[in-house]
Amino acid sequence: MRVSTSQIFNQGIQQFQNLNAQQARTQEQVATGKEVLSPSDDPVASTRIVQLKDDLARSEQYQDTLDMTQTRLEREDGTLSSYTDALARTRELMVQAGSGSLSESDRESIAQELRQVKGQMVSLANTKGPEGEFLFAGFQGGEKPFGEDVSGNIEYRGDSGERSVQIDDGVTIKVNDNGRETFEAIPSDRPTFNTRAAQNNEGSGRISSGVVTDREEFEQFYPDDLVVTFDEVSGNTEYTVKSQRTGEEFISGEDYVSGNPIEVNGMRFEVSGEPKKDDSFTVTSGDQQSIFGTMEKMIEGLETHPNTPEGREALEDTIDQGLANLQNAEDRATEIQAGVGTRLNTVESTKEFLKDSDLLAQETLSDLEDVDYAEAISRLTQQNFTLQAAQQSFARISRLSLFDAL
Amino acid sequence: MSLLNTGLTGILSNQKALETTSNNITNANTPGYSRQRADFVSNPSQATGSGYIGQGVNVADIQRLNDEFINTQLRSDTTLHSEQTALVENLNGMDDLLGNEKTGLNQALTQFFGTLQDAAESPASSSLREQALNQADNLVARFKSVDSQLRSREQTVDDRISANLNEINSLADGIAELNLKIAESPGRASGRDANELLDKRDEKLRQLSELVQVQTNENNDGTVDVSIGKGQGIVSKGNSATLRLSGSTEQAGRREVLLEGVGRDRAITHEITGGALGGNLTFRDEILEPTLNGIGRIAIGLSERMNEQHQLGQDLNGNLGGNFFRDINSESLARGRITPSAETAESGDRQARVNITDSSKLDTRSYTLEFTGPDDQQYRIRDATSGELVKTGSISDSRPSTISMEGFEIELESGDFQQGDEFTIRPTYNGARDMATEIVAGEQIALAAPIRAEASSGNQGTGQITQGTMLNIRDPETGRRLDALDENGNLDPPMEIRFLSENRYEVVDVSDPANPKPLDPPMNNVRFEPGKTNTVFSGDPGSRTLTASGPAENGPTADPDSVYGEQNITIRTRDPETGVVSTQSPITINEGGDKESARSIADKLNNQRGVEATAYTEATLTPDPSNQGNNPDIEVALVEGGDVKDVTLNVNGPLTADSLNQAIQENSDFQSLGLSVTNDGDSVKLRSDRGEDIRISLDATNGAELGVGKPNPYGDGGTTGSETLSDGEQATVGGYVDTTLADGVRLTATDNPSPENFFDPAPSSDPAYKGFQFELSGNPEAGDSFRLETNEGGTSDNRNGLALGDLNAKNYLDNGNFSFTDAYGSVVEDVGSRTQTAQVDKEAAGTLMEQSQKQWEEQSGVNLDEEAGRLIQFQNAYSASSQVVSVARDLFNTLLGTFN
Repeated sequence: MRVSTSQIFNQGIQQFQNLNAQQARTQEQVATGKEVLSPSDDPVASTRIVQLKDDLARSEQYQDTLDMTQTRLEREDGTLSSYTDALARTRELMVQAGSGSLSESDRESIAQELRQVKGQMVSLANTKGPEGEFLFAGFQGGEKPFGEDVSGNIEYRGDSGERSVQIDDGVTIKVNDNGRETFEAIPSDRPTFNTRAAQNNEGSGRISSGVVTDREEFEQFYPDDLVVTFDEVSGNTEYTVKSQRTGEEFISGEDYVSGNPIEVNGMRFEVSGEPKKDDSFTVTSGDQQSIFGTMEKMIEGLETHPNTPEGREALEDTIDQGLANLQNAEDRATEIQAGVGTRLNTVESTKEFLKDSDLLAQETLSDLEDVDYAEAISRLTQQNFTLQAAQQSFARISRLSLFDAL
Repeated sequence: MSLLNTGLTGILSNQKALETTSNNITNANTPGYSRQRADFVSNPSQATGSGYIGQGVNVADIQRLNDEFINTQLRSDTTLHSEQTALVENLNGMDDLLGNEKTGLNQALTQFFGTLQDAAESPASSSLREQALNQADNLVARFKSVDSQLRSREQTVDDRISANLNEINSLADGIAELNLKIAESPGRASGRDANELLDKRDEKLRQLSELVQVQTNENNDGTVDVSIGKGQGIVSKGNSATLRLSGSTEQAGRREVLLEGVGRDRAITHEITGGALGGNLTFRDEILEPTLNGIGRIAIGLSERMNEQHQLGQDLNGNLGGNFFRDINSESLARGRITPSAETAESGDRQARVNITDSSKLDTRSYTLEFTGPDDQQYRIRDATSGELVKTGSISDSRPSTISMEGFEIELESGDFQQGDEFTIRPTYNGARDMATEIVAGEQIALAAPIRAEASSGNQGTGQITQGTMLNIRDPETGRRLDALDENGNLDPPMEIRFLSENRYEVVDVSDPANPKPLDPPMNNVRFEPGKTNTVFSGDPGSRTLTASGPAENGPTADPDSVYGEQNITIRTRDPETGVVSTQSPITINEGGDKESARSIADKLNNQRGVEATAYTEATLTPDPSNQGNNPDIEVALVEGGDVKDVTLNVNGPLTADSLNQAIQENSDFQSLGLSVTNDGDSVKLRSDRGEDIRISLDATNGAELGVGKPNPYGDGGTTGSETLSDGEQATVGGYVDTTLADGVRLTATDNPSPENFFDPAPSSDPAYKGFQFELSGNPEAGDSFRLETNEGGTSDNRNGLALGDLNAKNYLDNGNFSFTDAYGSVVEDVGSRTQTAQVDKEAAGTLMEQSQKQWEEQSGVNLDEEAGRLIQFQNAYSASSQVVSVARDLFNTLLGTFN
């Protein structure tokens, strides 16, 4: 076989280049600590590496969400505990009010304290979450969910919205309980009623929460509702009370005196202030009562039931009803708090699970991506040695030339 | 004498040999130099008496040691190696650019979705919203950056291609020149060629093979014809062709390799294979362009999907979401996807655009659209890289004309399209470059949904309603805006679901809360299954509702049989995929003029596919206050075909609404009729939610008159008609049939107005689809109601935010194969494996080329040691020959000396 001179040189040079390139790559691996330097080094491993990094990033994301959710749920839990305490105090007061011999001033002081506790509950119901939104407002977290209507009674201004968040692939949990569930829609033991001024009333009339004076009579009337309309007749303000379903009038064209009680079909309430012509108020019977409504009726009962046998009987009924509703409110609160507890557990266990998965992913990632130093360095040494050998042998061989011998 | 000559021949020959050897030595490093050897040939011997006496030596030829077979092999291996080298060089760093965390898209995509999920967790937090917006901007910037890096590689490779073509041109010129020189070289006739000319030509051919695949064909006159690629000739004897690269990127889309010709320049890009040019073209058209297309597809798919979902939401200011990213079908973007060829563009009047119709169906190919003739309507669409035929067809003359493809459509807007027109279509190529965010402030991110539901606090039952899910803002088929929500995202009208009984409800318009009206189209008698989850609205975007209860004036009548004429109802269904229309066998109602009840008609309709009919009847009984009589008896009967169920009410005292109501309440048999009763003090309304006819008979021997009316359940209410009954009279009230037709289903009826048509022969129907859905469950009771309202103030609502953050979890792109990050991963993997393959192939090709080179060197390369040896050899021979001359001279001198 014949070998030309340029062949000898070219071959040698080519081999140096190859060895140099190999050595350079090994050195880069050692310096960066990465086995896979660019996707072309190992496209399959590369893709897997990217997937693993994705998984880790997603997991981090979920853990962030879980932390935020935990804070919020803990806040709600704390609020509900305080609320339950307030409910217990209310029970004490109501039981006290139910004990037979009470004087006028005793009643008054109980009513006062009930007012205070009610105020406490309202501000608990208006608690803000960690980002400044109201916890119990449903979707309308920018506005206080509980506030006074024109009559001074507490009304709910939020909605029934429920919010969830994603805490793992395909897993969501609810992060709020809205005010309607928690405080508003408490089942009432026996039929009850709620009063409301119409939206477009022009005057300054207010309607009190109202109490049941004669249970039998009221339950006969139930579930019908009342409409109280105001009219101006020759300079006098008059009112009419009629049934909403049938239009039957129970009180027609009565002269209006602010603050005077209006008693109809076993219910009693007061309208005060200055209502104008065409203003109206509704008295809607139903079987739900908010905790605030229950307290308002208690307070009104204590303050307005006269100290007569009928009055005392009516007060007893109010207190009984109040206690029953209170029980329902307590049950509801317990139920909701239990739900919060369950969710907090889920959050905790999901966090644990994600941490464990992360560990596994990190290990796999390291296997794929990180260089085995022992192997790489011994490879580097070997390549170095090979390069030296090649250089030396080339130096020798290239010096040989027949011309030198001539 | 001959001794001298013989010696001289030796001297001369060896001199030439030495010259040849020294030529070899000095040219040892000349590229393409084939070693030469002097061919020693004995001179013809002279015949003498003593036999043949040789006459010395002669150099017949300076032989060039070169094997054409080895040359061809070497060129072939060189072409392969250069091609892979060019690929490796172009690919260098591209996989790193795409795959690297700092420069690639993967992290930006993940972070974008991550911040959206964060914002969804706390929709009221303005800092989280800002963050999400920043990440969106960052993502767009990253898309653009990757895109511009790739485009600059495109610019580079086009420059390389251009340089390749220039080199090819100059090599072709050189070869043609050499051809001429070789053909005309003296000595050609006697078979001797100028060796260095041949070397030079071979070297040029080898250099050419580095650029492109080369085939040669030697002619008898010594010229060589050269063709490249798949057989495109570029050198023919003394003539060479010229190649160039077409236009600029903006104008023609892709730059083609053109062969300059007498008339037109012909595009020969598809003919080019092998070599650096082939490698550059392969890189540009088969790797770089699909990569740009692939990344563009992700940008387009993300924009489309985000926008679709974002439009369903509500932002912090209470406005409907609108577009999150730039609209992918805006005019400038749509027009930029289709470019005319240089010639087609000359006329300047063709206006076309490419609209993306469904980004999930897009692939990463580029296409050419050609109007091939023979008329101006026929066209062909091909894959721009492989040339594969994708679609043929013809357009109509009307403008705009649309050609539908998978995931996009080509809209020819205006202009004189004609035979010979050519266009390049790249639906996704500009996707990344054109991407932009449309929203500018965090509060514009639509994380909430615009709808919500509220159960009335007076509800007695245990019914529950979900808060609602948005499905569409536009009709998915027509693109028309659905009108259930107005432009501000307010529910129009606000609605209320009212339960009429445990398993029937109506949905009414409560724009005026004090005066609820029927919905348009109506939902007056909807079935509900207690205990199960029921959807409230139709989920079928194509469904339509139509009503039938005869003309408006038709009220109760004394003679029910005289009311409606016989009609045949035909249901036709058009299959939305195939367009085939199927007809079901018609049904006959009111056969022979016998009036059918609404219930019976609804039952017949429900047997037809794609039809859901519901029937109900309402009758108002209004006593006359001026003629109340005393103790009248009223018979209420439900008439269903021949079947009659009746109950007689004995009213106590004068006939008033209240006393009638009382009689109803006290009658224990009345329950069995299954009618609901409402009393407003003036009249009593009876309702059957099954649709039988209600017949009222009055037996009032002591006076009393009773008005029987049929209320209008649609539009503005009121009554469609009434009859006043006196003693002994009766009236029958017929019901209504509300029908919902599924997508593509149409109902027609024959016309028989004698005296009336129950169904309008060509009834108009209204879309039933609202674009959202609520679910009812539990056990509601009669009288329970649920309000559907606009989500005003819903700043804590994150329903749409959850959906937005979840977009990457669903596989949407590539017909449901890839999520967005998957699709990007696939692009990176493709580039990575192409790079790895190219590297491996380059090494393999390099080895092959080395082998060929070795072979060539073995045959034609100069070995200095060998030449050194030869020097000595010829030098010795020269000396020996000169000795011969010297001896000859001595002999001559001796001879001369004899004569002196």
